[in-house]
Amino acid sequence: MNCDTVGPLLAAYLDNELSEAEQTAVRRHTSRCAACARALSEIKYTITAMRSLPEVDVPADFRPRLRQRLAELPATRAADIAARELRRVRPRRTWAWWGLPSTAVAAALMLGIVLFPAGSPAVVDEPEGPAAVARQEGQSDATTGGVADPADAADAADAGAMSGGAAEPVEPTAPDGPTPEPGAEPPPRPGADPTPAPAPQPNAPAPQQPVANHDVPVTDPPAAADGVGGFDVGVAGITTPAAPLAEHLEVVRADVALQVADTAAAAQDLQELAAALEGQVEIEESEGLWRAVLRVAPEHLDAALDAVAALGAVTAQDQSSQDVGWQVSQLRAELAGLQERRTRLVEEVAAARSANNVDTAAGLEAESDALAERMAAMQEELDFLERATARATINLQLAPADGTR
Amino acid sequence: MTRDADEQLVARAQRGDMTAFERLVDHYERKIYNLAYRLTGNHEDAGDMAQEAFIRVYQSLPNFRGESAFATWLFKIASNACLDELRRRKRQPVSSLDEPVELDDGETPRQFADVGDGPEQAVERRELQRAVHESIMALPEEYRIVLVLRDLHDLSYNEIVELTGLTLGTVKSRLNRARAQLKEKLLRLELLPPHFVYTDRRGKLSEL
Repeated sequence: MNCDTVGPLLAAYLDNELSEAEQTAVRRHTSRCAACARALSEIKYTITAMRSLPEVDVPADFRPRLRQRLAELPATRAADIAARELRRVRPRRTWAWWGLPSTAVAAALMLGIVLFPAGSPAVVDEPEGPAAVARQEGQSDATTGGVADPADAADAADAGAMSGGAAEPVEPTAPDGPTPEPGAEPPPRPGADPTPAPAPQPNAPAPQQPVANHDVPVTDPPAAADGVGGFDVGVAGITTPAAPLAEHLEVVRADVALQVADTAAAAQDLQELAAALEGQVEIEESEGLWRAVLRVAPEHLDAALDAVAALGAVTAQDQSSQDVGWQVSQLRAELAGLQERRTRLVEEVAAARSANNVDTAAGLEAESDALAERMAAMQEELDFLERATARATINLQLAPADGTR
Repeated sequence: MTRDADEQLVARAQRGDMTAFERLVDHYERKIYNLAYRLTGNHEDAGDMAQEAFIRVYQSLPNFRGESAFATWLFKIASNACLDELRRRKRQPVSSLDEPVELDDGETPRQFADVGDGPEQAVERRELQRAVHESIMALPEEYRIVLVLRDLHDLSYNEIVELTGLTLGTVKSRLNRARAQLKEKLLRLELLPPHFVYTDRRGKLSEL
């Protein structure tokens, strides 16, 4: 080693962060070269000087200020948790299977409609079992990473977007991040005004907190709407009475792959089964494979699965459930809090108008609109969850027993 | 605090337990405040940035899955908060970073073996500390961050890699340059002792 190669290694040498060979080479060189030895010694002294810097005391007002700021935060944390749980729940319910973006499928489920794109993979190629779920979760873990700073989250969201609609989207939840990606997962927006169920107040109402900063990104959902294009949106038929707070609400689904002697006949049987159980069924045939989505009241799930199994030979079966009662109650509480805030804002807008404070009124109005949008998105999530819990879903793959597909 | 203890507190905080979150703040606020102080250079900004860091951490708790240690994650968020602010200021310069550096009374050096405790030495020590602080602040942020993490917070190279997202090679090279630049500044200010290498009778170089 010569002076030029040793120079850049001096810092790491002192930290003992070089390979053994490099450590030895640097030690050997600096024991012979006066200039490098001097440089090494100077750096050593510099480090000592650096480390002599005293620790400074935290100012006395630090904690009180921090506590106050935390208390003033809008109750977004509960919403963040609920949103994260939602993202975790949705893919598990498997939309990747159908090759549709989760929002599109979410909308489809609410309407009792499932769309089977022609190019979607067959179940034999893409088994939707625990392994697939694990793979999906592994993927989401990798994209979210252990270090969830805003920039990373934004990067992860980009990565998620590039890897296709089936990937679990990750959105930055730290609201003051440098450049949050808006619309990483656009929640569908309902047309009607949200009318949230009455619920207890969230812990920290924050009248003066800027809203925009903490908004869940909301963007237009045309993609979701287009995803079910052609179907009558008006047929949404499932209505669920508002569940009481902290109810045990389960989203239940089962995946069954079945070999049947006659797929067309089996499809017919499924229709009858659905009718008998007062459920619904959607059936689609693609490249010789039949797929069906059967929805029944959760209490009829076992009966439905037995009946389905009787149709042929079950080649794969998986069942999962997810309790979303907590998320639902969190969302309700959050919505009630936001509703209060919005009411106050509307009053403030009126007051500003009557006082002729045009700018103030416009600002407050924008804030109120943003709030309304966010509430609408949350209401949509809530509706989705409530509807999803009202019916158990059975995803079926029907293959002819002769294996010809 | 051990990583296990942190994880237990984080899990409780994730369930909304504010006491657990406060205990995490108890444990880390001094470190985070000092990190922010050495990155931003003054108490006002240090207070703001350390607050910002804890607020970001609080809000991001639901996303924390424990793949890295909580401490690493917290340091990352804190240093990002500081760097964000420093970069924002660079685009839109404001005065506070240009204000003279303050050194608190009552600060106690952690270690400085070469310096005695007499009144003269105390003055020298303060002079050196002021110069070092100013020199750190004069470094580009990219250098400053690795230097502060390594030499003031004693993070390993790998921890710095994990925290900054830089490659190991970049961390090594930035740290080397940061220390070299700091060294040059101290030399120019004649704050490094003049003779500290000598050649012994057998021609081997040794330090005083």
